Amino acid sequence: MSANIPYQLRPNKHVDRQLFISCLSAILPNLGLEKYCYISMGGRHLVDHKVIYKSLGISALYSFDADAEIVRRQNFNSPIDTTLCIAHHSSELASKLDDILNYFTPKQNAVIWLDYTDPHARLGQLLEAVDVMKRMQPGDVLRITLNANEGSLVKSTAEWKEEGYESPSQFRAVKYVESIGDFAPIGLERIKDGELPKVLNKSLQIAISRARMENKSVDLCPVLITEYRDGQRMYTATLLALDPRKGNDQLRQKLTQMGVNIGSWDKLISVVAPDFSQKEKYRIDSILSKETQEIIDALEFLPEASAQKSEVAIKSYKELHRFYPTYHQVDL
Amino acid sequence: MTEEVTTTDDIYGGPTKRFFVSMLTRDIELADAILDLVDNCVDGAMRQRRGHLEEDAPYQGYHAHLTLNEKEFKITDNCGGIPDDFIEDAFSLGRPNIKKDGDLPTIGMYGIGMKRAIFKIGEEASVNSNSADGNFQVVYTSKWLDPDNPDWDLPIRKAAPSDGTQGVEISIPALKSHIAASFANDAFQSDIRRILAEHFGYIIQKGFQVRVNGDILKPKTLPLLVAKEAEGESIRAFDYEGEICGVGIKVTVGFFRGLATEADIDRELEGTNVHETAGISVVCNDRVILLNDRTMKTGWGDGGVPKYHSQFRSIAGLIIFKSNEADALPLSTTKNAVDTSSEVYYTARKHCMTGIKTFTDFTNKWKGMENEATPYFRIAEKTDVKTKVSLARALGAKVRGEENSVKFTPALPMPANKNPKRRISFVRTKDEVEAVSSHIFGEPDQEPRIVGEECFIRLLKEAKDER
Repeated sequence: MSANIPYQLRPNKHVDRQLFISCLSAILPNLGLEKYCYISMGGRHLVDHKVIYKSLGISALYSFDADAEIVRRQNFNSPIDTTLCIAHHSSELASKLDDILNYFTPKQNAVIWLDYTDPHARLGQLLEAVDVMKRMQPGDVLRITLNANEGSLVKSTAEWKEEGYESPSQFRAVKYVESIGDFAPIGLERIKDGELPKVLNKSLQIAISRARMENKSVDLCPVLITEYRDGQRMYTATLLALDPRKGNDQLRQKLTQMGVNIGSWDKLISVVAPDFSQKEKYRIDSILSKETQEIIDALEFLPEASAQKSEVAIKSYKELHRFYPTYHQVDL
Repeated sequence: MTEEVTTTDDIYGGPTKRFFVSMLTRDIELADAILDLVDNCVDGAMRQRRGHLEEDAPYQGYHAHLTLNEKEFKITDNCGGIPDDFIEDAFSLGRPNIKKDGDLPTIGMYGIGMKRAIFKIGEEASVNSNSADGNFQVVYTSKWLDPDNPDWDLPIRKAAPSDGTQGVEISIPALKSHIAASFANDAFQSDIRRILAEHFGYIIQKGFQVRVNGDILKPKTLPLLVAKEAEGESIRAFDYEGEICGVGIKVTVGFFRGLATEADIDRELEGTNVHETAGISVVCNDRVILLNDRTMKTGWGDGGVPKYHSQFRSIAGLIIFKSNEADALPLSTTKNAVDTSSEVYYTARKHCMTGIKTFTDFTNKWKGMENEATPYFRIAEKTDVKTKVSLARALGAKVRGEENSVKFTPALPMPANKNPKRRISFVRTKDEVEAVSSHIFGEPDQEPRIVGEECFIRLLKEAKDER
């Protein structure tokens, strides 16, 4: 399970998280950074909480986990002593939101990250997310991570044939619709290789519509949508709650100028952190403004298995190199 | 070229008598039709007590007396009679003017309810009213009620106010045969008393009297367990109070009894449970509109809230709406169902879900340890939700996005989980269970749970001894 892989071995997850922090850095100061608290599952080491605290200075931090033993470990690892780590299931979060905000008075808004990994519980995860969305207020940010591993829809390569389907993509679509209930996009007939993140993207939009029926006080706008491989393929979406009664044009304009893709469901960023040596990175950095092919030519080797994959890797590096981790061995 | 011949004509687009007297009545249960009639009595009492409705027992002295047997149906009240300017709405079959009561929390004065109930129950009927404005009688003859009779005119006999009681009497001396059979049925007689006591429990609690064939009904209201002067973790209720779109909302959810044990759940699965109180009831202006609901309507099985299950049979709650504007309430036109799509209802349901979730989580966390939670329940007292529970106002915190709303979420006791408990559950045939029971206890009929538990205890001892 990717959740058990140490963070230092998860460069794509690292880049994805850095993109999220960068996005928050653009958004939150415009809305009043001092009003926010941060809420997420946190994991054993509270990596997200540490980054949020160090990068944004948010000190109202809340983490939760269903396992009380993990919560004890979270308490040990908390970046500051005001962090509140509580044992409860993710399904309880929505009903506790008001109480959490009240605990952190005078904080009024929340950045919430629902970091799901289980590919067999997507329906429950979306229902939980809808429950949270129903309680969001203008200014809140919700980030949701879902497992986008297509293998989770097919047990074996022969399975689709045994069950009489034309193709694995058709079989996947049927299995997805069966597992996701009312969140399945209308007319979904096939899920081809690599398409599950796009399908989840549509399902999330349906989830937002469902929440909107009961919570008309916010418009949930996408501000960052990514997919990455972290052991398994994952999909994330970050949503900003805007007040529909207010004209948000100025804010939208400002965030767009700062590179935030506000309101665009089509801009799905594929996070790929290619395995470049430090020497290779220096070489690419020195010619970063050149065309992709020129950079590949300058390297004098293909950084990935094929020309096409190499091109994708270089393009991803050009776009995301700012967020790549640099690992060094440290002896303590 | 020949011109195409067209003709124009009119077809009848109006209502038919059959639709009202025969079809419309199929949409309503007999008990609900009777509830509609009592509703009208209560609306009258409300109008009489204008300006005093916030008192503890504003309806003291007002009543609705029902007589129902295989021969006749009669409902008599002393609630002021039908005022002159309500008469037209009371007897016409168009859209009632529900705003006529303006500043009173009625739920639809003389809408379709009275007529539909009369059409449902009888083959002829009379409505007598004596109010401060005057005295009148309207008779529905069997001829008028004939579905094929196109005549809509109803003769009304008016007179000056009389000195007697101001009120309404609806008398149905000729019953439809299947209605007469229901009224003669002891089970129906018992059910209608319970249903009236449940639906008008909060009105009766405020002094109103409902009699059925002479029996005074006692109110059925919801008491929940609330620990007094609680310090730290204790059994108390979730409580929310707010105002949305001019409608006052109170949502209270909690336990009305101790946790259901496995034996309780088994009994329920065998179908031996008594009338169930669990679930959420919706109350609009003191009338119960939805009783003990355990569906998505009140939030069960939505979002993070689990579907209703026997193990949650200790959880109950009330969603209370109050407004002087009848059309602001989340009521469907039949008055017997909630309009689940209104913003007011969504808000209440959202908070109700928070309440339900608080107690389903508690139930799940104590699963298998129900008896250990008993001491917490023992020190909590049954407290009437509507009149005595005001935790949100006393101890509540503000609610995001809602001005003037407050919410109290109880800190419920949690089991110490340094060594968490795990449930073991399995099924074996009766013969096998009896064989093991005989082997262990020397008798075949021990409870399967005890047989299984004893097996585990013995093997655990063996396992420990081997170490």
